[in-house]
Amino acid sequence: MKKNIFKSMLLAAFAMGIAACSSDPVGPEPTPEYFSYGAFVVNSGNQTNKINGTLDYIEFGSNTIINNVFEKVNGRSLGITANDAFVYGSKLYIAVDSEQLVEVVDAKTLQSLKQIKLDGAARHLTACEGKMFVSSYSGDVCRIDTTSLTVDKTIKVGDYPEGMATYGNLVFVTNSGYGSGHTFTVIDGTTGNVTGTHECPTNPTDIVCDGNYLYLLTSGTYKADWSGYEEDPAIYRINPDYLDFPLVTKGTAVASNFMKLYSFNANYYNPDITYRETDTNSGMYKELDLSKDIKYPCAIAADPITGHLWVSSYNLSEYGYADYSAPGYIVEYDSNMNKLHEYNTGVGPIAIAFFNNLK
Amino acid sequence: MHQFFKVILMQRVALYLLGMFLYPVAAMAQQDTVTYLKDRLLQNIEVIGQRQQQRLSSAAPLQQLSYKDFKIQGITDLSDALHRLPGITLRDYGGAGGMKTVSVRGFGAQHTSVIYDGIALSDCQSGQIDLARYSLDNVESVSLVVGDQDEIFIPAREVSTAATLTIRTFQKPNDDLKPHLTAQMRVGSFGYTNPFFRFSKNLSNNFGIQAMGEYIYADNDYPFKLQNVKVVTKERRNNSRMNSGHGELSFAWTPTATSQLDGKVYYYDNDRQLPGLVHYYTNNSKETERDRNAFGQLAFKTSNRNNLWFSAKSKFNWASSSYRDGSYPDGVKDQDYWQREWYATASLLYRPIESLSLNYSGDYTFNNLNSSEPGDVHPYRHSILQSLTAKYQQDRFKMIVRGLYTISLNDAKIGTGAHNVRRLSPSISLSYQISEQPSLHLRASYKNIFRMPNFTELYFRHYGSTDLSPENTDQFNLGLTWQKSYSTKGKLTLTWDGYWNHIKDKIVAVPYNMFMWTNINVGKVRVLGTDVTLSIEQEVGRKQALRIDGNYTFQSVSNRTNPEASTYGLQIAYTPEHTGALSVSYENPWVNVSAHGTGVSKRWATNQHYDGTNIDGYLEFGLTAYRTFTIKNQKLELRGDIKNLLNKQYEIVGHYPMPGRSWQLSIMWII
Repeated sequence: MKKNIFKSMLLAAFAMGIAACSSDPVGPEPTPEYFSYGAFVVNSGNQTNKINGTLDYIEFGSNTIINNVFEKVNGRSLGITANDAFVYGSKLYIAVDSEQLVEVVDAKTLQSLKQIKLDGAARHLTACEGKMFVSSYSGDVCRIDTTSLTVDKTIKVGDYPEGMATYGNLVFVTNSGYGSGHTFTVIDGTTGNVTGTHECPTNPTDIVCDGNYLYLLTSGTYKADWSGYEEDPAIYRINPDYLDFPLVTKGTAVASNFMKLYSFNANYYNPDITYRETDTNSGMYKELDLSKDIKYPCAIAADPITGHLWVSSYNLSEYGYADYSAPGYIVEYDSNMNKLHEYNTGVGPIAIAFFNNLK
Repeated sequence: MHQFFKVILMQRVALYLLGMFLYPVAAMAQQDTVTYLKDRLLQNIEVIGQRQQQRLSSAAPLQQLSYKDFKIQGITDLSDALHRLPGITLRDYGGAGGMKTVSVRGFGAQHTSVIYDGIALSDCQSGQIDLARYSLDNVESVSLVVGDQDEIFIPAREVSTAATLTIRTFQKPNDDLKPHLTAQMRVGSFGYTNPFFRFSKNLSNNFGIQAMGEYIYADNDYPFKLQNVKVVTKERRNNSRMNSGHGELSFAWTPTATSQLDGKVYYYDNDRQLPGLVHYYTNNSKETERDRNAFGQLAFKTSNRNNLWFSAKSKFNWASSSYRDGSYPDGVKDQDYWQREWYATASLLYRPIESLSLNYSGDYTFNNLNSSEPGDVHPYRHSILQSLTAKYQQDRFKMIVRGLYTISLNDAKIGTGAHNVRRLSPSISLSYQISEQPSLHLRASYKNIFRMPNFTELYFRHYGSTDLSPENTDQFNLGLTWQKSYSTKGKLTLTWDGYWNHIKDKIVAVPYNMFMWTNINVGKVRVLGTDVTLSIEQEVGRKQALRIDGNYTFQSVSNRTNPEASTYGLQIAYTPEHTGALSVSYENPWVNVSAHGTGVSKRWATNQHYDGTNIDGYLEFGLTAYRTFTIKNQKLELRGDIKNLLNKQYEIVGHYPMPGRSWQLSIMWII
């Protein structure tokens, strides 16, 4: 079974990653070294307030952040409403929603290599079988050839596709339906053909993989009079038969690491924001006390090499609510949730992409 | 003096339909003595003289522009006209189809009401009026009052906002039984085509009708320069075409010398593409919007020929807007809205003694809004407004005291309605003439008023909150007006006003998260400002005159919400500190010319003044030339305009570029 092969591959990769972090000597056979160079932070900006999307780079060696680095290198803006980023090979791919394009840059120099234009808003990215995949509000996933940097296949999926994940040679795409969707599409990464579309809880917007299972994030549905949620935003495990979706935890954002899920629940009617680490192997979870550092969470990501957790945050406005037109910040925690660093980012730090040598 | 008022009054009755009570009460008292006068030229001179006098002696700041000013000062459209008035901040999304709203003295656009032929226009959905819908061709005058105007015989609703913009369209001439026709064709850059006609005729000595119609087509695909950090590209507005028509039918019936009934039906239809905000790398907008508005109104007034006047008006208004986004063919972003208004008002004016007038006005308005939005609660509102006003005028002194009592009853067909509101709003204005020659007036006014939250703020899905209270304002004004005729050939007029405004419980949208917002009453804003206007009229030869009109405004519109916050004390978004306009006109028997410019200083798109969100200031210049040919009893007028002469690329709203240099040519034929 392909999934099991992939599972063991991933396990190996994570194991090597952990080994790389260990100071113990590791025997005569030299182990390939896996390490992170740094992290990219994509800031959405705020189109109504005339704030463009930007890219920040955090260099792990010096623990410094360079803000607005795309603009500094290329002398032009990333554009309006940047949404996601993905490092693959030597390149960084940035999905810019309102500009309906994917900006491809050299991950080291950040020189722009190509703008790949789409037919609709560019939403999210993933990589599979040597190709990049980008979801677009045109109702498609576009496959990008990483050498020619062109769309070599446009794959029709459901309405308003959002987050994606790769599992083995399969790409999983959430079809949000702009709040009313209840399916995800599975694409064969090798052929670019849809292998199936499956029912799931309503309004799926993201999907992550812990090296073992896939997990689906739904953004919930509102009551008819929108006085609250009909279905709460939650994270579900996708069972391999695609038929059963056990609830893992309620939450509005999720990130994964090996056999771990990190999530927060920033629920609109509940002012208390909770953060949770779930051990997907045992099903045990613990609440994380991040509220002391995080004013209003924006994005969450775990570095697969170091195991560090990164949580970005908005600052609060003078009215005490998240300020979508002011610069935010990002906090780095070690795997024991000790705060290591805090960096000031651009406006709306909406996505975090790690730059490492782990393919 | 008595004779002077006779002329004025006659002018009112003869020329204007009911509802336009701009003249002092003293003038109205003479209504029973009206006789018809045929020399219309003389009348016009008197009217202009009277208006200027009004502007100087007004207890609250008053600015006026007449049809003649539009020509002399080279004014091309309503937003251009408002640019020439002090204290105004215009929002303009660019081009003929772009929405234009106006805010006065640091108040938001919703604090300015727009009165169209005697009855307020309304939009309960957004609470603001898009001025791009009203072309100038059929407009006889535009005036702006901040606070309470001198005329007190007006509906209560007209005193229920911080500032009032009054648009008066051309009324039928009433002095003959001949048909009158004005036909005009205007063409301009970017596919602008605008035919216009107005026909009027008196069917008898006391009954007249008028019809007008106009059509505007524009591609609006104007070029602009796009600054992308260090890269400048040449672009063009895309998906910007508009097709718009507007027609009115009106009548006026004067059964007796002291009573009058008039009415109007109005229809407007604008089917346009929305270019949206400018992106750097895509030009792929497929949004469209169709706006329709129809209303009918009736107005009646009468008097007992002595000391009592009565007026009643009513209106029914229907408006719809349909938004479509072709990028999302499943219609998920489509929106349709329909709103209705029923309105009735009655006013009584009583003048027990020469120096004192008392007015009571009672208004009732019903508004409702329906939409295609899921979860729409079908909100509606009953508003009952009552105002009691006393005006005392003796020698050089004038005082107006008013109390306005508002009852706002809010509910929704499905779901929860907003809070009801009952509130008393006081105001007082004073004017004192310090000297007669040169004419010098001192004025002072205070007004407390509020605005009700609009239906979007109250009910819009994932945005509104029914817990909202009104936004409360206080305004103080102190001003001087001065005029000197320094010879028979020249005149200099100067006005100065200083003001202090305070807005509290300002309605601010705050996010629960990126998609769920609500509105709360939290903001506080303090406005300190000064307006200066200057006007010079100088005869420079036989049938030649030079005219200079200018204004300058300084406004500190600062955020006073939270002293702990970094935004405290900063100029609020989209309010410039400095604005000004100047026009120099030369009238002569050959070709009248005018050069004019407007300037606005830097603004911020954010209250935080976040780096990169500043919008540069700009200076824009224009040129106008026109000439009128008289052939027998007919007139032919040719006019040419060059707008944005220096081709300055600027923005009023961030990411919405304004057109560069453009031209317009018009030919008008009057029978």
